[in-house]
Amino acid sequence: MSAKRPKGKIKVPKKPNPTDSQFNDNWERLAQAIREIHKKNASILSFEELYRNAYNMVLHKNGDKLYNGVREVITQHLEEVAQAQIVPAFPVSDASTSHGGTANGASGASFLKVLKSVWEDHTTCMLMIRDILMYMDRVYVKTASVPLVYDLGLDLFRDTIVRSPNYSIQDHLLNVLLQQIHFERENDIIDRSAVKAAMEMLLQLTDSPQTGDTVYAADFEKKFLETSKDYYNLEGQTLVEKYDAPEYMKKVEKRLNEEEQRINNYLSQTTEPGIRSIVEEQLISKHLKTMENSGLIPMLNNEKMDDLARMYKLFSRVQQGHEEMKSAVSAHIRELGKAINETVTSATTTGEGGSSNAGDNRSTGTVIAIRWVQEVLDLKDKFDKVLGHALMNDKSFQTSFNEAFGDFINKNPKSPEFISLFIDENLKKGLKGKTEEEVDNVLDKTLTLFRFITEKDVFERYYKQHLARRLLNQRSVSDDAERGMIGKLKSECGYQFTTKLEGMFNDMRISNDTMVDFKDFLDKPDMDRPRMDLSVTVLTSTFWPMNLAASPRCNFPAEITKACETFQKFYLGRHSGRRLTWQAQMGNADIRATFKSRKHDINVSTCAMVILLMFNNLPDGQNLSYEQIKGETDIPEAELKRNLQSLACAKYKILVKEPKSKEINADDKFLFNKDFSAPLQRIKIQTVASKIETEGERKDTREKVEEARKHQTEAAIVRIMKDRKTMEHNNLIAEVTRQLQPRFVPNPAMIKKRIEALIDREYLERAGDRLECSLLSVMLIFEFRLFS
Amino acid sequence: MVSSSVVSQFEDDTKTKERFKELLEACRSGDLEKFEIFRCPSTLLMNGNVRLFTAHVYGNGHYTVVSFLLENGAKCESETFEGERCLYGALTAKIRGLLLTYKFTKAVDESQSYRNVLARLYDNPLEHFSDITLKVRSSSFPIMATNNINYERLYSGNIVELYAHRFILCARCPYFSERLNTRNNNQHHQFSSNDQHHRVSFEISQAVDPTCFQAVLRYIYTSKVVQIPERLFIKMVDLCQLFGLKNLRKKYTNKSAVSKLSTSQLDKELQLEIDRFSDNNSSEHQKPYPDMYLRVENTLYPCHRVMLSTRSEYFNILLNGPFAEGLSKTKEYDLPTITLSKCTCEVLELILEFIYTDKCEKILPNVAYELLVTADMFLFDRLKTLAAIVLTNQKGPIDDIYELMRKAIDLKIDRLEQYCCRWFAEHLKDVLHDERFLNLVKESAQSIQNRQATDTIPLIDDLRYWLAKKHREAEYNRKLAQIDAILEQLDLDA
Repeated sequence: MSAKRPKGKIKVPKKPNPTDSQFNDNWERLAQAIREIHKKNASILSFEELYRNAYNMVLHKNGDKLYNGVREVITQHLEEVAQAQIVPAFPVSDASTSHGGTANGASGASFLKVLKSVWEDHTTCMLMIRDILMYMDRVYVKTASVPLVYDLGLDLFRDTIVRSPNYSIQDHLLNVLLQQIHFERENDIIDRSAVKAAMEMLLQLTDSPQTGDTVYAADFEKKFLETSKDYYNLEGQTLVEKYDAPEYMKKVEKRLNEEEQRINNYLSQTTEPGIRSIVEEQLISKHLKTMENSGLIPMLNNEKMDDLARMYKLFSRVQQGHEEMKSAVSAHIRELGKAINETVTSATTTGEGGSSNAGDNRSTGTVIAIRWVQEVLDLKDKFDKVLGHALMNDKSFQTSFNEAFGDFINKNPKSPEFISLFIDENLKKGLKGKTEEEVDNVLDKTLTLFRFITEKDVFERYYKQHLARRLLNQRSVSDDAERGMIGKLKSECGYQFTTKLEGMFNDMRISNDTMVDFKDFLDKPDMDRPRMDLSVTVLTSTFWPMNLAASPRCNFPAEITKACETFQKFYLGRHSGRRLTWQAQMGNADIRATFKSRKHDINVSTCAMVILLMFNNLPDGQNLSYEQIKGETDIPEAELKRNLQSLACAKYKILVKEPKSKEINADDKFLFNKDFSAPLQRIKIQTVASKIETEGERKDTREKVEEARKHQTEAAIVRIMKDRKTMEHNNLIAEVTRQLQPRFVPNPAMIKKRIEALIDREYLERAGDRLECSLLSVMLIFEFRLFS
Repeated sequence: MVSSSVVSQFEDDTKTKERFKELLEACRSGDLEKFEIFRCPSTLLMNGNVRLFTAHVYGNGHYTVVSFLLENGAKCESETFEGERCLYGALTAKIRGLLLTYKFTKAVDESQSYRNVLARLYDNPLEHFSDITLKVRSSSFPIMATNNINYERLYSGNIVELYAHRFILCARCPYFSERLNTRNNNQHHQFSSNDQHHRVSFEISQAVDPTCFQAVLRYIYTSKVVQIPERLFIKMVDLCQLFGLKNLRKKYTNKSAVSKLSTSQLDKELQLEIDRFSDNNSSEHQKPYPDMYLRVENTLYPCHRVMLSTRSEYFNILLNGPFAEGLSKTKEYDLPTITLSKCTCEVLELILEFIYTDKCEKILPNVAYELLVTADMFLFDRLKTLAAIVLTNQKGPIDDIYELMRKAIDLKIDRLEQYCCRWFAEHLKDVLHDERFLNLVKESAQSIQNRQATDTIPLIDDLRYWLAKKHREAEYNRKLAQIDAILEQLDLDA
């Protein structure tokens, strides 16, 4: 193509017809140029000329011949290279050293180096060849749907060298690579750059145009993953036998890091998920149970937070990991909880089966209760710490821990009582001297335990009892603490739970005010002052946990009766429509008793006071028999015995009993002990106020609770039916359960019975499968509610 | 719909204004061919404003015109006022769809590569044969978030060094042009062994604010106007005054327009005096600071390696590659020289013009063909198109229509092909029995691979198309019959 400069008329230069010889010439020059490039002699070649040669060939429609010709030349060259350079560099297989002797490793590495230099030469040459053939790339390649020249070069390299049909280059290459990796896994040093270069080469070669995979993926990756799997399978078994859980986990971690590093250093990122899942599976999944068995519990016991955290992290990689860990830890919690429960039951059985001294029983009982609560709290603290430090506050773990705690706490039927006692103890003495914050802390912790209980109504009952005793005996260490506790309970369970408790508080307060007014009342001029100082606490019966009907009788002596009447007059004058009933089993009295040696101020219970007053009018030396006392005072037996015990058999013997024994029998006689002495002026005689219940008392409480539950269930049923009018049986049970759950978990059988009872009483009606609530019951509902 | 504001843009050139009006006529009537005719080099100037046409085209609803505009660089950007207007005014859903899709596809904005190149030069001067170091004093050099940061800055005292290219500075900025040319004695020549050319350093006076200077430098290179803090506006204006950059100064006095990109200025001004001189006037060729020569037919053309390397892959390899030319040490007048053996002066001049300015306005018809071929060889696609436009703008073809046709098919220049076809259609009775024509038909038939017995022949199809456009029915059928007769003669079926 010569450029002419036409003058005047424009003439299109005539294209000379391409002749074959010209074509051959052109081609020869190009082929020679390519060979020179391969010999690294590009600098002597004229780019302009070669470019034009290629251009001409394409222009004359010989693009295909050019392309094919180029392909041939390159292929030939690569064949030569393979034979001359690569094959001689094949690593010598040294069978003598099995575990990666340096000889083997080194020859492998040098093979890789040779391959790398061949590859680099090839790519450099291809770039130059591509430069020359730029026109062909632009014009011919697209229409002919063949790969670009550079890509052609890559494909040829792949087919002629890497996957050479004539020489086993591919095998050697893969073997060497896998071998190097194996060496590195066994802590040998290898030449990473050589390996990396080989990998990069593989990554640049595509396997086939359809899949778009690289040769790396197709040839190397698969084998790599296979061998890795075998390797780690073996590794897992060896390690597990050698090491216990904490050590094992450290090794696993190390391996994981190692593989990750390997990926970053010379493998492709695409392999990362594959190898990671292999390691995780072989080292972790397969040995989950073993790891747990061999170490989890000691780790927990010794609070090895690091190890636990490591376990948590490792297990999180594996699907079942956390589930396993959760259930193992929860099982452990349940075990520990069960042990705690058992220490209690064994203690109480030995305690109760033993001596007859109820007082000792009770105090050890309290001790047991408190110990139980404390142990549970400690356990909770411990696992909270584990959760925080090692388990990253994982919510699902927390849930399962809570379940475990809930489980064993509720297995212990005395847990509500224990918890209430614990609070009782704290509010009486334990919190003395603590700051407000610490107080809050302790109460909060107890509250967390409270949350676990399912039978919250049992707790309520006990708490009321204990609170009543605290208030009446003024044993509470801090009013604020009490109110704080009630506040917390209120926010936890709603106001209904705590109305009565607050009522009790109010009663105390009002009584104080009333007493002030009573004193003023007594100061009136023509008042007949009673001979004693009377201090009355008025309790609203519904709030306080005592049975009106069951209030024991007691015959008060005359002066006492008179005093009571004075008060009654005063009180009823202020409030109408109320009825006062004197509770003789509560209350106490200060008596000044004159003994032979000195006088003492003795604080005794009301009943005891009545008993002692009987001795007032006795001549010296005369005794009273049990029957006499009983007859005169009309105090019920159990109460009487208790009081007599406290007077005659306890530490301070105000009375002398004949015969001397711990038990009170019907034929005992009692004498005023005028020889009595004690170091202190003021003495207090405890009437073994029951702290922990005897079996009988517990049964009693239980029955009451059951009774109350029945009523509540019925109320719930009626409430629901009134709302829904008709409902299916199962749904009703579900709904009732849901509503009652904050207080206790109702037994479906019990609910069913209640429903039957209501049907009997014609509150409800069956309509086919459903239940209907008839209007008749509307009025009765209100009546019903009042009594519940 | 002709908006007066649009017309006012071209008030400096009445001839252009007239052409412009004709252009709009073409728009309105939807005459695509006529429209094409107007896309001759002088109106290519309006490339940047082609998008305005789109706004006015919507009144027509001519899909073909709109698509043509889009294909040739009109922009319908969603965030701009005009773009939204276009969309809003699109008369048919089809047009709107087209506008929208063209938002996402890379519309071939062919001058984009040119602008990219310039941006690259600005960003990485050291990698691109920079030959001047500008020293700016600053008490604290506030770093504008630009890419200038990648090269080293030497903070010695308070001096910051920026790197640039003398020829660009001279061409674009009168101040530099004057200073660099006259104050030879004030320049410090540094011979660096790596570079093959001198490195010169130049100090900027202390009164110049560095941020402003950087903005100006950017403008010099890329014609982009950047945001600067308001307090510097006054300094900016002064600096522009000093440097003689009138347009830039205008921009900064009109604060609200600061962020717009304006390309047209660049195209016009970056007309370097790469001149056609055939003698060796040494003082003259100082001006554009070349660093190499191209020799063609015994004429030396001074050039800059920067421009040649970045604008053309072919020249890049030629100049910088591992082959003989890139490594040669041939020098003329102390500058490396490369000889192009198969190129004429005229063609080379046009090519250089295109390389430097992305335009080629002086293509004479008699050179167009050669230019076409050469541009194809050197892989300048756009230049190819420009040459083809010139060819197709001729009323009649140059001598050998058959060669032209073959070339058009070989080089895949659709426009030229259509042009030839049309000519055939118009002169059908003349060519119908010409053997050369028949050869063409045969070649066309063979070009379809795996052709069936009855299949299309592209040439015939196109012929029929043009005939249909030209004639009415009766006439058309007559012509068709003639064609069929010929086909039978050739034993082809289409």
